[in-house]
Amino acid sequence: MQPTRTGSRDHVPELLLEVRDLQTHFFVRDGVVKAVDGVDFTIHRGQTLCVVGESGCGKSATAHSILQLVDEPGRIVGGQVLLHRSTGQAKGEVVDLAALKPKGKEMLEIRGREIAMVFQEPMTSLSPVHTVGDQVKEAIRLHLPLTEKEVHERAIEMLDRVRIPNPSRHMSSYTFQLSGGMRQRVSLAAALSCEPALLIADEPTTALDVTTQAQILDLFAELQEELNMAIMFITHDLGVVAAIADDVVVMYLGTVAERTDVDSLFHKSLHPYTKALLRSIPKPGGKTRLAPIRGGVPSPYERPAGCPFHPRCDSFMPGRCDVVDPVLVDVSDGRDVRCLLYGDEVSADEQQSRGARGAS
Amino acid sequence: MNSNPVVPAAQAEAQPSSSVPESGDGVLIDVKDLSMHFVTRKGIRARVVSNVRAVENVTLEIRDGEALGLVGETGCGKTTLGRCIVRAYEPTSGQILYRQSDGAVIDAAKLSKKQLKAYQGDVRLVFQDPYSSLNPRMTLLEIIGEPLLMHGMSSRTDREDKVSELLEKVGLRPEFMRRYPHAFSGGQRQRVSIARALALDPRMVIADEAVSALDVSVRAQILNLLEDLQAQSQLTYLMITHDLSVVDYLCQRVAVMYLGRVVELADTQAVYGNPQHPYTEALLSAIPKPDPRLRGSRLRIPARGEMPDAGNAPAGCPFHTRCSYVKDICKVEVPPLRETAPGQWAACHRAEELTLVPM
Repeated sequence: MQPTRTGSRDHVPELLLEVRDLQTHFFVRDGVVKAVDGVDFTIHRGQTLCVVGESGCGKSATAHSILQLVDEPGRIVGGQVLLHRSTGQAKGEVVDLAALKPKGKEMLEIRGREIAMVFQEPMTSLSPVHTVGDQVKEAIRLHLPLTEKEVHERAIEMLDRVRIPNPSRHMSSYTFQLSGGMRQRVSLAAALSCEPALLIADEPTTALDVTTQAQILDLFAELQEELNMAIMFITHDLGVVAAIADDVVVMYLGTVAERTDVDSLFHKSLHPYTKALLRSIPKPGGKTRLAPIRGGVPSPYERPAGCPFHPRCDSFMPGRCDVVDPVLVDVSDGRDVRCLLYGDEVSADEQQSRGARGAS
Repeated sequence: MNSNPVVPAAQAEAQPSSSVPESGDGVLIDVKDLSMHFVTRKGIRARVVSNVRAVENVTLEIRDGEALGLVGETGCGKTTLGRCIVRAYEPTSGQILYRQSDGAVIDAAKLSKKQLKAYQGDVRLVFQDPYSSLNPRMTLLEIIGEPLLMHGMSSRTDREDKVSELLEKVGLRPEFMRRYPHAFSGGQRQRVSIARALALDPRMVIADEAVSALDVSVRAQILNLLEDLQAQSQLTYLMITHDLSVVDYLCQRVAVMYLGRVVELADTQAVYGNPQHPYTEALLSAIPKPDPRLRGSRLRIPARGEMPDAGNAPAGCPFHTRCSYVKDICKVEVPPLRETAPGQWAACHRAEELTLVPM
């Protein structure tokens, strides 16, 4: 059963990862694609952060930047990714992952050990020519000082933990012999084998059936409880967000549109983009006509001036939204929103004309 | 073989007035005992190594003007059934009775090549992936105009007129017709696929996961488009999907498939509000509810494990290996699809005694 985690927010959770003004740009022939363009958020130990938004809004690029997995011609060009470490001698140390070399020793130690990742299509991240056991063992061997026998035992234990039936027999299976749900369990077993403090999951259930998705989401919740692990869960399915998130970051065109706790997202959302997303999903049993967001996500080369969402926004204020690029402002209870409807932190000349109107 | 199931179609035939919905003129396509087996042979003596019963004795009526949802997990045979109906596959056995616009009824399962062409102009398919289903080397004019050309519209200007009309109908600008698919987003490409399906003024469109690959906001646009097109041209839809919220939104009736068989068939509201089959209950309970306050508020009824391989289906009820309510009879006897509640058909031995949780 799913633990109800919305109520247990009284104690202040320990900080694990701070992303500050992260910028990842891709330098391609036609120009610069600002896939991540100034993203801020924090992840706390043992909690689940969901990152939502349409395709092409920079969700995956943000995740890849955290792990220094950005492919050429992309590059992190600014900002910090501060990891508050917890293992071994490094306990208490704060490292800026964005400043580390992608293939350097430190990054290799962190990647897979302290921060692990699972992907949408497990077949692309798992090898078809190695057995399940080999792939889980590889991750363990790389990071933990264990004997070969211990590694083998731990791999079986991990397969058992992700509820793969008959784990010792499946050690010698190949991934193509398994179903989609089972493959995702295998990649989860490999990712969790070193008990990472943070698991980044990039649309891990999108390719699965609803019933399998429900099983995998349950498994995430159980393993999170067991390992006190933080999860950064990338999805575009708001139903999944409602089921698992503690906090939510809504992204649009490489920026954070809104950052909030999950209850407020669904019941008191602030940003027009968040509201529009919620209006575009079918309600159970409801025959009310859907209200899709106008148009589509603009091409990365034609980024609108001012607020990136203004051409599709219902609350568009001419002369303001298409001129002023809003910043992320704290509205209340740790909720942030990047919209001119809220907050006053706008450019100096704007501030004068807006003097009378307060923050709502 | 199981005994003859009591089927809705049989009733409709016997007493046409009783089960015909108010909305349409009756049944457009009547699928009867349809089976599609994929046999793999090996060796010099063509020994049968596997027989995948992708669709097994499916009986289903598709009413004129309705949107019928076809749901189930990956591998349950819903796509195969759709492809049999559009006659991309030749079914192993069974009938697909199609009522033509002149009122004559033909069996689409056994058609000559010439008849098949006319039938396939009336029943069109829209695919899931708008990236792989459009030829990148053809302009929109060629893509959408191809079925027109195949069906005898040889004048290029006629085709251009028709294509521009179709593009407008699906919400694209007519001047796009000289462009190639790569210039368009996923949502726009899916509109192109829909325009191509509509080119021959079909009576029925089979949409195979047509919105599954799209973002939420784009999906809403396409769902609204499908709804509008249906209202404009009295189209009949068969919506093949694994997304039950899409069915809830668009379809009046829904058929739930499991391992090649239809296990439940009824009005969408009835299925969602009063499921008769344990598999339907499991499917409904697995849908994530878009409200965090509903977290943990209700019991999740999981379907244990995974769907068995269709080449190696269990004896008895195909769902018994995962069912929470399994009894001895379920392991031996295949339950027929029968009316278990007024207007609701389910293939479960225990449908009457079980009280299943609605959505």
